[in-house]
Amino acid sequence: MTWLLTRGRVPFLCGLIALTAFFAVHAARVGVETNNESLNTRVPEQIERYDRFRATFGSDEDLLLAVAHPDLLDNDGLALVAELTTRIARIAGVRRVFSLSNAQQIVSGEAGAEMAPVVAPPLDDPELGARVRAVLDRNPDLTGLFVSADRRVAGLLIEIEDRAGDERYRAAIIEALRELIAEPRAAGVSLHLTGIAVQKHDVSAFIGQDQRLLMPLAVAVLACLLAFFFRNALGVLLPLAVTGVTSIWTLGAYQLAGFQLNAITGLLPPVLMVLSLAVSVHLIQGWLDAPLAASERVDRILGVVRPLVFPCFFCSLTTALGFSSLVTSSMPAVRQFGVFAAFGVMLSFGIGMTLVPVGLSFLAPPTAALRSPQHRGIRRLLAGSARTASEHPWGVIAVFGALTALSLVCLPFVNNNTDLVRFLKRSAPLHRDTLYIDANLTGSNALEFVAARRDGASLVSLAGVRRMAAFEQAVLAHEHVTGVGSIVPVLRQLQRAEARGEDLVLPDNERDVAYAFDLLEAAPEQDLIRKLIAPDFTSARFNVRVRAVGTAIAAPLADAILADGRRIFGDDYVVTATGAFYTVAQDSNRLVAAQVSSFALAVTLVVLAIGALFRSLQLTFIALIPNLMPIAWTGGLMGVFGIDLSTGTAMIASSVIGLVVDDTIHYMTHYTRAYRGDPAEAIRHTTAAVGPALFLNNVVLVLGFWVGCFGSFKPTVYFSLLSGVTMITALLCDLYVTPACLMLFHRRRTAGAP
Amino acid sequence: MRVVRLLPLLLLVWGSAARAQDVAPARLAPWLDAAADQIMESTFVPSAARKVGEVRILRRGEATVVETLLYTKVLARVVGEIRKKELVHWPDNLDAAHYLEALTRVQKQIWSRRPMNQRHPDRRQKLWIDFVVAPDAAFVAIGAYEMDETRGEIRVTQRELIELLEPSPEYVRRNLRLITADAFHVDGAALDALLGPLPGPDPPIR
Repeated sequence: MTWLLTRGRVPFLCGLIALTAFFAVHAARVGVETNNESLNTRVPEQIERYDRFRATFGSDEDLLLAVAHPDLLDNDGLALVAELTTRIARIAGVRRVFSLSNAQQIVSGEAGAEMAPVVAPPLDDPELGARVRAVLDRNPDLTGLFVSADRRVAGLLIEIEDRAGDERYRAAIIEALRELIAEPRAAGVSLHLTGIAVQKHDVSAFIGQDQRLLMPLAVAVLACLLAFFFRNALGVLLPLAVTGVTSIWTLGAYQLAGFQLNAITGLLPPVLMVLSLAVSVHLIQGWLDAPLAASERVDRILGVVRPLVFPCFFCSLTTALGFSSLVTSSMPAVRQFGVFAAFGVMLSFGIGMTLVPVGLSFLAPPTAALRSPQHRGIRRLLAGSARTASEHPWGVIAVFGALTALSLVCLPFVNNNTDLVRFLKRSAPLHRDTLYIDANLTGSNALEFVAARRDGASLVSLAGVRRMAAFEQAVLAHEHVTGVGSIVPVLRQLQRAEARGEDLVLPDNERDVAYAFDLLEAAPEQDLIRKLIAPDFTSARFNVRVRAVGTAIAAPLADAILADGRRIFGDDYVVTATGAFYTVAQDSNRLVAAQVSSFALAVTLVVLAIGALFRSLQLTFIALIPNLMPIAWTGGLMGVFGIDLSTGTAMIASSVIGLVVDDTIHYMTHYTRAYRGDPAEAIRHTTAAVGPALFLNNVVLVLGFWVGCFGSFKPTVYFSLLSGVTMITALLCDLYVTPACLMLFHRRRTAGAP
Repeated sequence: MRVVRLLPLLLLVWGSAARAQDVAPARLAPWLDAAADQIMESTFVPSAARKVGEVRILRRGEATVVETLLYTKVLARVVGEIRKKELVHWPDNLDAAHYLEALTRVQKQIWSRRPMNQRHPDRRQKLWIDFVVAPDAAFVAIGAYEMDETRGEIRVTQRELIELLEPSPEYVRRNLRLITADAFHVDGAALDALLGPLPGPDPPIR
């Protein structure tokens, strides 16, 4: 260390600058993931089922554009729908557009069932509206998808091409559609766009936007805080240099590992900036507070660094262990976040413990102890907490214990829910448009189910069709289900046209069933039919439209529908669930289950680390109490305020446990050194010595985390907000519960001594 | 007792056979005998990818025959398409009207014979139409058939004549050319080359 602070300073700085430049080049190349792939868990069976579904029925990533028009079914409204249909179909990458203007109905022709347009020419016919209304009344299946029940909103289903490897064309389509939406239109006319591709596009755009906003904001907040507390240029520049180098190296390594930023890892830069401050703050605070006698530069620095190496290393280690426990998650984004946050924390320890001393070695030691009004105020507060904890330890334990018990009561009210649309703020176009479409047209989400015979035989049989129809009716009976797209309504229309009847009924004998499927086989619109049933009729798709609900509702709904399917189809058939929305619902459940094991792992690792540090079971137990309490409180708060457990919030416990334990380690390390038989005196001394640094470090952490509240995604906003809240409550626990426990522990030991 | 129960069915079968015999006058019998047919050209309709049958140009002795073999599960739909084309080519034509009536009758008869069991190995309905131009006759014959299929190649194993029409020679000759042109996507000289000279005198243009 002495070499580093003397002759090694310049080579060290040169090496650091060179390496930072290398990583900076790579950090600048970090891209933003456009397909949200890392937010999907890697479950081979689920992936294989979804791939098979897409290979059979095509992509389920259609876009839906809603067109609101006060006179939709009159000539003007229908002309607008026709114009939009034509223009959208011309956008590169759009395969087909389905709307009222090109929708077909099945009617009776000379040779039986035949297709006829819903909007039949002439389009300038004054009776056009009446004709279309009659067709819609006769074909209720068209309502919901192509037109709202009140006939004021039309739906345009946009099928996009599946261009593997081309990550740009989806964005180009959505941008073209958004330009179309932004065009000035007559009063009362509005356009709204939703769909999974829009969601992916907007998430990518918001990640980029957040990167541009949160990074500078985090730097500004940290700089202001450091300036406020240290009132010293080096107190600002050195910690910022450490955070800057840490962030650059970590992001560079992230890019070198081949990853792109996603909704979760987008938080890495601001979180790392915050986490990498602790070592610098403790070192600079110690350097400023060191006795004036130790005025020789190197000795003063060594005097500060040596006692801090061990606790700072353990603090960094426990924080890194907390984050690294996220590797148990099945979601790649969460794993990446855990691994690189842990890497960044350990990196910040190494850089902080070298760069800060080297930086300080260029400066003359302060000639006077740091004294400022805010420190006096903080010290008074700290003295009050030390007094309360040492004089009324049982009272402190009782109050904090009661709060913890209350939180545990509220914990079961926390809902496991991932709602992709409501992840975005209310002002986000996707949020607004999706809820509009959800309220006026069909549900904006879709659960996909596939029915097939277990022996792989054809579904073409009277019994098969009846089972499909019974399943359709059972699905429609569920709350939140707005419609079911399947081959069954097509068969009803075919039968009506073939029988030249008026009622939508299914074929009622084997021969008619077989002929209906023969007609489907020979129909010109094979692309449409293939979206509903496999070419060899061995598997049928049920596209269950669901309101914009979260996974808390969708996952049990999917389970209930699967149970219906198994009951109705029986043992000879196999019914499976799949699709993008179903995948999200399953992922959400898996994620939370994984977070529970991740948290258990984090606690175990932290306990082991503390045990190794203090080599005392009792002290390890005492260290755990003030750290589990704030996490229980945060869980209780989530239950009380209805904050869902989702991708972001599920990470809080595992991430924060390693962080909050740092304060306890610092406190207890100092306490064990200061204890000379009088616990009250040791508490007063410890609180006065480490309290200001803990306070400053926590304020920095809290405000640093809260920078994330300006992000675009609610899970990351909640993660930031609640992590900050947990840090505050953890500090309170460390200043009250830790000394109270130590007081009681040593009192008991003193009382038990001979 | 069983014979009594089967009597109506036997009568129906006998009636059908008798009708077929009735519709085929002896003078046309040589031109209906497909045993020695020579296939000159053949093509799938409407396309090889979505075939519902095929159109063949045959030499049957001195006669030229354009034979349409339909084998499809949606025969009514295919007959409907034929109807549309026929009405475009022959608006308000009595021969065409008779031809379409006969074609529909045959289609319905074949439809009524389809198996009730949907698991039947081959549910395709099979109908043949011959436009025959012989030195001394021009006529249209329609019926049902059975076939063997080997690697996509059709071989007729059994033919049943159900309807026989003798419209004007002009109608037969021109429709034969129209069907060939439509199926083989040829016209003009290419069509003439494909069909070769038709036997018998060209009827006067009316």
